[in-house]
Amino acid sequence: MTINFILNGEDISISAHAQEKALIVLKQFCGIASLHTDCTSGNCGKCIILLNGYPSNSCLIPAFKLRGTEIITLEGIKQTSNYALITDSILEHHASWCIFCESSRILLLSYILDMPIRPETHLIDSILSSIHCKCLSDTVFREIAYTALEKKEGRINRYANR
Amino acid sequence: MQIAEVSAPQNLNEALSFYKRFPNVVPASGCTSLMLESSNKSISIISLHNIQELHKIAKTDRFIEFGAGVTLSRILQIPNIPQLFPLQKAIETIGTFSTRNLATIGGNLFVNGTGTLFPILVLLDANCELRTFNTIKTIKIYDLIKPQNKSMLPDSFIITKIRIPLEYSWQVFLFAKNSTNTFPDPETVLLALTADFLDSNCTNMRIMIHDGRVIRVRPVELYLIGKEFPLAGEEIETTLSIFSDLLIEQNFSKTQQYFFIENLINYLSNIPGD
Repeated sequence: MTINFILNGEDISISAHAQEKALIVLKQFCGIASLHTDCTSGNCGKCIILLNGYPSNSCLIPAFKLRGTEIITLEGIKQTSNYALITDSILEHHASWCIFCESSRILLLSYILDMPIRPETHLIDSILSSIHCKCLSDTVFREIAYTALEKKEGRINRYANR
Repeated sequence: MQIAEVSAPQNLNEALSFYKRFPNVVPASGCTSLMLESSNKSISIISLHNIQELHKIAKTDRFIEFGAGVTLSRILQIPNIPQLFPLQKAIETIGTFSTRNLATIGGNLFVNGTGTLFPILVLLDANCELRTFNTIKTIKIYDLIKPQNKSMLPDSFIITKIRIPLEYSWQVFLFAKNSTNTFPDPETVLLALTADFLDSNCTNMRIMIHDGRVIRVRPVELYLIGKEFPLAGEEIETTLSIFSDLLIEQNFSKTQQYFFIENLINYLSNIPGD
């Protein structure tokens, strides 16, 4: 079937089987290299994309559901100001993460940064716990999220005070 | 699993009309269970995720109503409704944040038997609206429990709404699930208990256990209602003995029995009498 959707701001039209996982479609048909295949059952969180703005496991999305949606992957986030904030925060904490979960971690942080009001602690914890990878401790990941939030809020306040 | 055909109606009437003509198609919205299906069978799908009516949340003074396609994340984000806390607590045990953005309440209730939320909605006296092209039925979720304690939708019906009454709020709600796996999972079980007290006497209590089957633990409820809390040691022993008999009768494994009994002891010793 033909599936039309928006990927990182660009119109895409592909032909794929309806039951194909979005993960496979994005990797093989659209050349998205940042996504990683691991558990393929929604547990590990290494294939997270932003589907219509919400973090979702691409291994649990059938290709037919992509029709008419807007998808953002790490490749799309790299063009935004959030990406700079996130990388600054990582450097500030002298932290690093593996290439397998990098994309999902950055997308989750970007989602948190784009929330209209600062989310409560338990919501941030819940969002960040979508990834199960041992390369980075939950505490450090949470600290990076708060640092990025403070940087973003600081920037907004600076503009507001002008 | 092979998907032979997908129909994606844009409104509910179109979907119901299609379902009437092709009753063998599988209704799907979140599609999370569908993607975990490992069989090789070929199915046709009626995709409900574009239907706006199924994504609505409506609240009045008397009830809150969820379209069957409302995602679990959206329910979690509803603030300050005490009557919803049991449901929200149960939802937190399902998958991760990113899977809850896909999974829907309707799907959790009826895909592959019954999901985590089924017994909770029974405890909350929830109703559901079932529709065919020319029929609308509103029934209590409890009434969907069939023989062998399995639940099922009547043939050719689609679940469209879930309504939770807000007029009544249980004083005590306790919930335990032994994993974040989704049902059906051979080892996953959950125990949920609600209770009301007047002074230190238990005036009402409901206990549900769930392992894909939904079982209400009536003998224990009947024994505990009217008792003064905290319970005396002898009363706790009698309760556990009644509970054990039921678990053995229902063929729960030793590990599952241990989980249920450990949690019930924990609950009974921690429920305050006032």
